[in-house]
Amino acid sequence: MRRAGVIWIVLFGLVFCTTAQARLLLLVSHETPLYQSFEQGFKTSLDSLDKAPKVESMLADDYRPEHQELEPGSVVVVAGVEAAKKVPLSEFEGVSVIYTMLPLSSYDWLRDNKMLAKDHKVVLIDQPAYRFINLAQVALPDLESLGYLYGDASAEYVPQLAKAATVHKIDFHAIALNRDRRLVTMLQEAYSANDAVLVLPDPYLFNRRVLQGLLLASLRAKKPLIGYSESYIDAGALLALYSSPEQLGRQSAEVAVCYLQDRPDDAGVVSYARYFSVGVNNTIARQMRISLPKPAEIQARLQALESD
Amino acid sequence: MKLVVRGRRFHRSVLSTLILSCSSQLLAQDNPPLTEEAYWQDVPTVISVTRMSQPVIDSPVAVTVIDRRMIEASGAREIPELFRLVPGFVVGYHDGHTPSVSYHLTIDRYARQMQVLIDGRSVYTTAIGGIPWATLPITLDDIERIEVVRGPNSASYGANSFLGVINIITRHPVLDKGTSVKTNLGNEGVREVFVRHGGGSGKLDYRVTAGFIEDDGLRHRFDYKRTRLVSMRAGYSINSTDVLSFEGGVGTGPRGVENRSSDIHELSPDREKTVLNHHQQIKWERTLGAGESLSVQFYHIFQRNFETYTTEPLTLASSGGIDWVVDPIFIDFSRHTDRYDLEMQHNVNLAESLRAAWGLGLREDQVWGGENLMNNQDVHNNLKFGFMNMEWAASRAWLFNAGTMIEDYSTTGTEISPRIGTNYRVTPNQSVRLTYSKAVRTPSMFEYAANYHYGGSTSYYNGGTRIGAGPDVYNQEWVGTRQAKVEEIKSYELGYHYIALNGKAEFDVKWYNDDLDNIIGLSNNTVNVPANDIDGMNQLFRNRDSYVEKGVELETKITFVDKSSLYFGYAYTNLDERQKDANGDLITVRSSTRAPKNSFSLLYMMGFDSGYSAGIGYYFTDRVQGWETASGDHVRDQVRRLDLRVARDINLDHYDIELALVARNVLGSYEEMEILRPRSNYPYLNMTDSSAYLTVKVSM
Repeated sequence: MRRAGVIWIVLFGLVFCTTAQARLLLLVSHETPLYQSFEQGFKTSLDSLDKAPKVESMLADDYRPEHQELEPGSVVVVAGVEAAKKVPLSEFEGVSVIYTMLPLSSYDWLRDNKMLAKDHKVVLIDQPAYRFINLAQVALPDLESLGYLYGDASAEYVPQLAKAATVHKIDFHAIALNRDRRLVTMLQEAYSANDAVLVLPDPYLFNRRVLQGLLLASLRAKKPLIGYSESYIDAGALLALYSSPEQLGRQSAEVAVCYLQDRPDDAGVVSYARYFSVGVNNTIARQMRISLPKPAEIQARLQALESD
Repeated sequence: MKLVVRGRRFHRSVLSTLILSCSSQLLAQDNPPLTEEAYWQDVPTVISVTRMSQPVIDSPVAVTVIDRRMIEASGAREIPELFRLVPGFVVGYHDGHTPSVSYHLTIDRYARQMQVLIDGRSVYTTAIGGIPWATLPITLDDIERIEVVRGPNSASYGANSFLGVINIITRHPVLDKGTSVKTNLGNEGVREVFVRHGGGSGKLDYRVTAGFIEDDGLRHRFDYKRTRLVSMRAGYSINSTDVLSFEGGVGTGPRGVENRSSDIHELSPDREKTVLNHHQQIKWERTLGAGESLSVQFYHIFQRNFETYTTEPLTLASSGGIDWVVDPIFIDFSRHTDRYDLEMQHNVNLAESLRAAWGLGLREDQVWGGENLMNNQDVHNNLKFGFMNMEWAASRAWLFNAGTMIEDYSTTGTEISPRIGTNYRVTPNQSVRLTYSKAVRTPSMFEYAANYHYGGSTSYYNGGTRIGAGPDVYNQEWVGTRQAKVEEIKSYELGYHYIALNGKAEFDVKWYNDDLDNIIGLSNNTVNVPANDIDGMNQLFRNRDSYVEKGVELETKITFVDKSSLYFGYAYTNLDERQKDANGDLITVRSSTRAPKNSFSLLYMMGFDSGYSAGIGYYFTDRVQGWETASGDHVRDQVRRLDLRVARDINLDHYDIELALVARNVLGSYEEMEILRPRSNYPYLNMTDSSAYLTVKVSM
């Protein structure tokens, strides 16, 4: 009788502990290599811990709140815009949510449309504006002026870039891309008045016609184009700054650990990408007769600037 | 805070307004302005199937894009080899300097039903049809990408865009600043050197390429080639809206020609011919607005094949010690073509969701054929043409394409080639297309006005001593009666296209049903044959063949996380031949082996750290009927081919070095498409062997 009672107590304790254990749930927008890379970076970062928490991952489409009981203290990582849109808000009461792989503009949209959980943090894909200015100065020390071509979606970076440029005493010129004006005219303005031109993600810019115009104008003027992805380097930009899905996964894991261990994270609610890579197109550099440090060296110097 | 925007100062209040207006715009949208894919996807490919820039997903017909990475990874030495990648294409060699590229139906080495453009300039040989690939003054390194339209496209590019169109787009000169020297050395006598220099001065950008290409051709064949080529491309930005482009080039050199053209080798001994190909092209383009432009283009192409020789004495008969011998005859198979083309094109936005590309043009082809080809005739073919292609985005999901080409030929009359199609976006990254096209092919000047013949004097010999003159002999072989009509194709295509959200994977499938009619071929004829013809028979070019081809083609491109890429293409073709009598009435339908039932290609491209890269290409072609079969139908067996390429890029301060080793056809020899006649001087089958070459390239 006593043994049976002990057994019941143990079983009850196990059930209680099981029920009370916080969960780490990863919801991704799609089952594509992009998110697989993110998940790999996320899990690899967690594996380095002494007691790595178990990660349950699934498609946001497959998430059913009635089947996925989330205890207080659980952490849900929502990767991508589609996942953020699809996941039901109300189920996350008392649960910490990390939105990750989000562009800043899309985070603003989700927030303004009240589609975010109450207790949340965000890991953005975007690089902080000052990092692009740092990149321009480290890679091109003689740079005195920087043009920024922007569309509707990338307009919000203008004030941040202007501020960062002022700190580094770089003349900053923001040029709005307007469908009513000829692209070639806008590009000529950008390159004639500046030592280099920067572009950030915007649907207007991301098509081959505009990109080819950007690139040709850059080569003709022998002035660098600075982009935001590896694709831009492949297409002919001189420099680019970007974060891989694995790097974002790593950063997201660090935020998740802070939540799980109930430690404060000094990054605040919204964090820009912390880990990044620098891309350099040596062929374009040679054509422009620009001598650039190696990408790893540029990256190290940028990291040193940020840790100062 | 001072914010300088286009030289003016902005205050915080204006800045706030900017931010607020952006926010309100965001709120007004149904969807977030950007997704995460925008940060990692490849730049979308834009193509020019309809003479308007369109993403591939909106194309009304199936298109294969061969980009620079594929060109380098394939290990191809010559442009035609690249088309082994394309679903449904057959690449074969008549001899070492005569490759041929055809789509689905493959009849002979001339591949008359394929249109090939280089920067908008047609390089189709109007004299005998086909493309003089080996003499085109263009190298693989000059090419930016190749768009292959798999299906008729006369609505955009006119007659002869019959089975498909190959559109070669060369690199803009501004991308090729600096100097490079490249050499290829390999077995089969491969020795090639290329020098390229790109530069600029003010608003002018230019690139000049010079090359020397030499190889010994196929094993045991007398088919060497030596080619010298020079080409240039220049662009001058007149002002912010006007650009002037100029291209010019010349390619020339000798080729070995082996006895092939006659069962009687004395009439066609081994010999050398010289080919020359030069062009000049000038284009003015004005940008009128977003997506709107006006251009005027003029080009001239000259193609010459200089081929003369003297036959060897041929004994026709012997009796009582007396030999009746055909005296040596001077044979002239030379030909040359001049093409002059003037064309205007206007791209315009007619409304919010309606745009068009229309144009007018004039062309003159002047063809001369030597005595034994075309009786030293000059044949002119003048063309007036007009075209219109329109695209209407009826809604977010529905896109309609319609176009037509109207051509008026002085030889064959007026032809209209329409196309109509629709694309439905199932989701933003998936589309279904349904298209109907009609296209025509005009007869080549040889099919139109040929008189391919031998003729000469004879003598009687006794014991090797000439004892008297004999009667003249004459043998007319192929004749063009100037009555051949255009070939026609009516094509239905149902397709599905998918692009992964991050742009790293793409998939296309096409089902098609093509009806080919009035295909020109040679028919035996005994009526109105010259009275002195030795066998009383000739062959006339006439519209006699008819085919129905149905099938499915798949294509996929995937880029993996480690940046390696895979390209896969597969084609299934069912080709039936409709045999008709002289009145055009159907006699029977039978299965044809003039297209391989199955074919596929696979190219795996890898890039590693420290500058290494590699490519593995595997190609399979099913059984297919060979060309110029001497006796009955000879079907070539299945062919499997494996090509390997390994390269290393070394980036130094002032120059880059590229080293590459290519091993071609490592699985062993296979029979080529050209099947030899049994009485040829070289009784071996036409074989493509394994080979290898080394590339060293230095760029400064």
